[in-house]
Amino acid sequence: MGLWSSDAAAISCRVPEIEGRALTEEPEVSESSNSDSGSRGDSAAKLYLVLSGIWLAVGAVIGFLAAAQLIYPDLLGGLSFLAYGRAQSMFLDAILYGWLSMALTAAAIYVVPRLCGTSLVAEAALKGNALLWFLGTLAGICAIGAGFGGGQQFLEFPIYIAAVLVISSLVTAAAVVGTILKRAEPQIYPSLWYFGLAVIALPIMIVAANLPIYAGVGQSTQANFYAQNVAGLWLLAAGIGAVYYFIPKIAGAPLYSRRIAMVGFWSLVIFWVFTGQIRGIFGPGQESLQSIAIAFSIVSAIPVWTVLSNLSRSLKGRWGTVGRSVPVRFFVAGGGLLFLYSLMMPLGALRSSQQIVGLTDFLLGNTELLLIGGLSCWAAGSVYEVIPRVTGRQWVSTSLANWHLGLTVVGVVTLAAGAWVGGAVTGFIWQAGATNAKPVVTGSAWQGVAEPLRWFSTMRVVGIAIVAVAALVFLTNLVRTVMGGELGARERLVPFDDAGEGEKRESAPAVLVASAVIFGLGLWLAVSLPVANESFTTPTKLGNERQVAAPNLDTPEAKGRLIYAREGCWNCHTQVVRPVEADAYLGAVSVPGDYAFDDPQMMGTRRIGPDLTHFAGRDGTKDADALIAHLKDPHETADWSVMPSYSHLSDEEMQNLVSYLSTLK
Amino acid sequence: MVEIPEHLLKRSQAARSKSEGGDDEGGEAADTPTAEAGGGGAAEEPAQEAVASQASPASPASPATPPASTPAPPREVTVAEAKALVAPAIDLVGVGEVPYPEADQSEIAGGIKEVVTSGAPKWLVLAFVVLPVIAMVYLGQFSSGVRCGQAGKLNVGDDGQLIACDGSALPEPGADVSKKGPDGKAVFEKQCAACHGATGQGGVGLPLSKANNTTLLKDFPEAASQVEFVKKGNAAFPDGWGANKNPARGSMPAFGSILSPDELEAVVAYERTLAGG
Ligand code: HEC
Repeated sequence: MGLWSSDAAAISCRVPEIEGRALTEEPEVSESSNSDSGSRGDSAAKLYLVLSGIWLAVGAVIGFLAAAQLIYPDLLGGLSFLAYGRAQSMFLDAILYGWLSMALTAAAIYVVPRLCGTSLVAEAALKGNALLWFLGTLAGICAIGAGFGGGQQFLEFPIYIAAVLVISSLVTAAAVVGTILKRAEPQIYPSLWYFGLAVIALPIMIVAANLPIYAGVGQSTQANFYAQNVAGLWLLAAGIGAVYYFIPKIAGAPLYSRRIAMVGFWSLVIFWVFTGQIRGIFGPGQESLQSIAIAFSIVSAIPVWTVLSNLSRSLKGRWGTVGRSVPVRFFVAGGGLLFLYSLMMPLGALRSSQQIVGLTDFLLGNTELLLIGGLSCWAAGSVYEVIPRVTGRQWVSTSLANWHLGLTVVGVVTLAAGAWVGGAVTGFIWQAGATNAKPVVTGSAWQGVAEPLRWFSTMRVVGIAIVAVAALVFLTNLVRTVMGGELGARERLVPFDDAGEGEKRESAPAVLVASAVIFGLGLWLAVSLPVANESFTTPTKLGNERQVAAPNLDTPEAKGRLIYAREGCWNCHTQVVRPVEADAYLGAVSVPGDYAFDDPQMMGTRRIGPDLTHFAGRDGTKDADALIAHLKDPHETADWSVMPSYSHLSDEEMQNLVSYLSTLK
Repeated sequence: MVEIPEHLLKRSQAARSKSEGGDDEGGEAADTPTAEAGGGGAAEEPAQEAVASQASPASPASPATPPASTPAPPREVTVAEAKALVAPAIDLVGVGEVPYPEADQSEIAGGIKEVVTSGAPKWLVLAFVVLPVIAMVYLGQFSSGVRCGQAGKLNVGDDGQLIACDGSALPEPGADVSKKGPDGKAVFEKQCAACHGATGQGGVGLPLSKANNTTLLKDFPEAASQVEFVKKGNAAFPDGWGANKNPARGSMPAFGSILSPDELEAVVAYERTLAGG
């Protein structure tokens, strides 16, 4: 008990209310008497936070089970719900939609009313909204597990579940923007811009990404835009909003520079929106868009660096003090990981590195560093800071919190490093195979790739296991705190005050509208440019041959195609041949017209099994029966293979799948 | 508000001396539940200064501080009391060290302030200039699309298959590519075409192609002797060169010091294919 109580006091190092007006109310002690706390969004924030903690733990454990199957493919004994292709999608979606989105929404609805000096709009609705988002995510993830998932990263949720997320994010956006508009505080502190941008961008992006206007390459352009920007303009923007509030608040220091914050905001909006296509370098998409994306990925370090430099200036001379605050430790660690990300992002995007690491695990390592590393640390820091203030309870254990931080950092670095090094090794093996005319990219020669990769898969399992332990530690601490942490840490509330007479009110709409315009421009580029180019929609000979699998048909091929999507085959097998040495011997280089009837497109961004673009046209392709036998038990013919067994498919489904595969000539 | 409780002053001093001794981890408070442990807000700035400015009206000491309730010597303070002291101790050090002129600060609801005037540090300004320049240079490099050979890109043939930048097909799988020396054709075009013609049709030098009735294969039945000749030039054979002891006509330069042995081999091999051998 002694340990907890004194530790706990150090954690929520209470922050002075700097201004004189801050101290007019007595600190509240008991939970029952804090009826006015609700008006600051506290009860809704609390609900969001607790639910988010559950998702982090669930997501990380699923991630572990997925990664482990890349070493022991039979680990789960053919359990289809968590088979690798599905589990990999469930893992990343749980982290993105469950954990990060909910934790950062909580940060938004906690911070925004405070900075506005007013009460939160529609708090009661937001509580329901937290449940709606939670259940939507739950339904989406279960849908993937049950075999209703789609074929593109972060867009696997069936469309009606995506619609639930749109509704929920619209409610959040309305509450946050409504609060900003009715604020009593004339000035708009930078956090408010970032939160405003984030909550507005999210529903627009989900809608834009799910618009059924394209098949094939146009659709992949959409999906690339989404995958990059849901992280940048939603999660990163919200995370920056959070740290811009929490760090000065905890340190009791002013924000070093409003100007830097402003520049950072605009650079985020202007630069990040155009980076989407770094996920498709050398692919059949527009080369000019890819060049633009790479160039902007270089300057996208600026928004991250502005935050880091600004806040470290605010902390100058205070490191010793605030270093004792657990939230600040998380923010600082997260800042470090994001700095690393700002270097890794362009490194992975440049064509000269893409010719080697493209389509390997490398890019996934970057995604993990961003989501599970940097942004997770920022989100967790917010949780540690906010929970005592909205529940009135002290964290039961500081040492658990420190373990959470240490394990997260070690785990995610191991995980991502495994992906980076493993990715580079894979790329060099592909390339060497081409240079020596000893291709390793198809059939049983793939053993030459799979075997070295196993080492890095092992490293990645260790990494994700550590992350999962950290997540469980966090959840334990969170639940114990919320259920029975010591009371007494409730924040002293600042009474509302009216806008000062005659004070110049900054214009919120101007900032929001201007950022929305730029954001819209990026969106338009991603979503409408493909249509301006006829070659994107005119089918090639190959495209026409594959039309039998078009989604509007009732052919076995079309049904098989959907099975391929929902089983997440695309999580390991790409369908794109690029004009680089690593892809030599895979057959004709892909052009947009090849995909004219592909919906959902399943080009994929990661090749940990052979590319399947021209699978059926290759020499030595198995006949239907042999193929079915292979799908049922891939290890019978290749004991080194990590491909999961698909014995859970019915005979008819299996026939359909094989019919689809035979269209891949 | 102006007076700082005596015990707080003591505590800050203790904290400072302790932090200088390299203390860390709030967790140790458990073992030594004393006021010092709790107050170990390791201030980098002199804690005393902080205490002094704490007294300014703009930053009142936290009311949570139990006034004179713990005047007892540190060792006798209970855990609960130590805990109560932690937060105010951190408040104490945090406030007051504002290095920015008050006039430039603007106060926001929620207990937040921001400095309106301060600009970016130099390194950030530098990044602002350098990164966009790098990005522009990058864009410029690919302004006319990605050409073959740039960043590892290969060419695509009419049938959609990958081909090398010079238009040649990639080696068949399993082909022996271990001896891939210099390109004889390229050496020929650079060094020899001026005198022997781009297609070996002849000019200042003798014709080398079959179409132009070259005598090359008769003069040099073995590639090795031709290598020797190209290396030394016709002036090195006063008794006549080649199998037929041809007298020197005009000047065939010596390439021994210009081309590497590999390049000599390659260009000779290329010429022999031109000559039809
Ligand atoms: C300055 C002009 C010049 C250049 C450059 C030149 N050659 Fe010659 N080459 C000659 C002349 C002149 C002769 C005829 C020599 C003679 O008849 O004595 C000759 C003769 C030869 C012959 C003998 C042809 C035969 O029918 O037997 C060979 C082989 C040859 N050159 C190879 C080369 C190669 C290989 C290169 C480039 C690396 C080269 N030459 C560059 C001027 C040149």
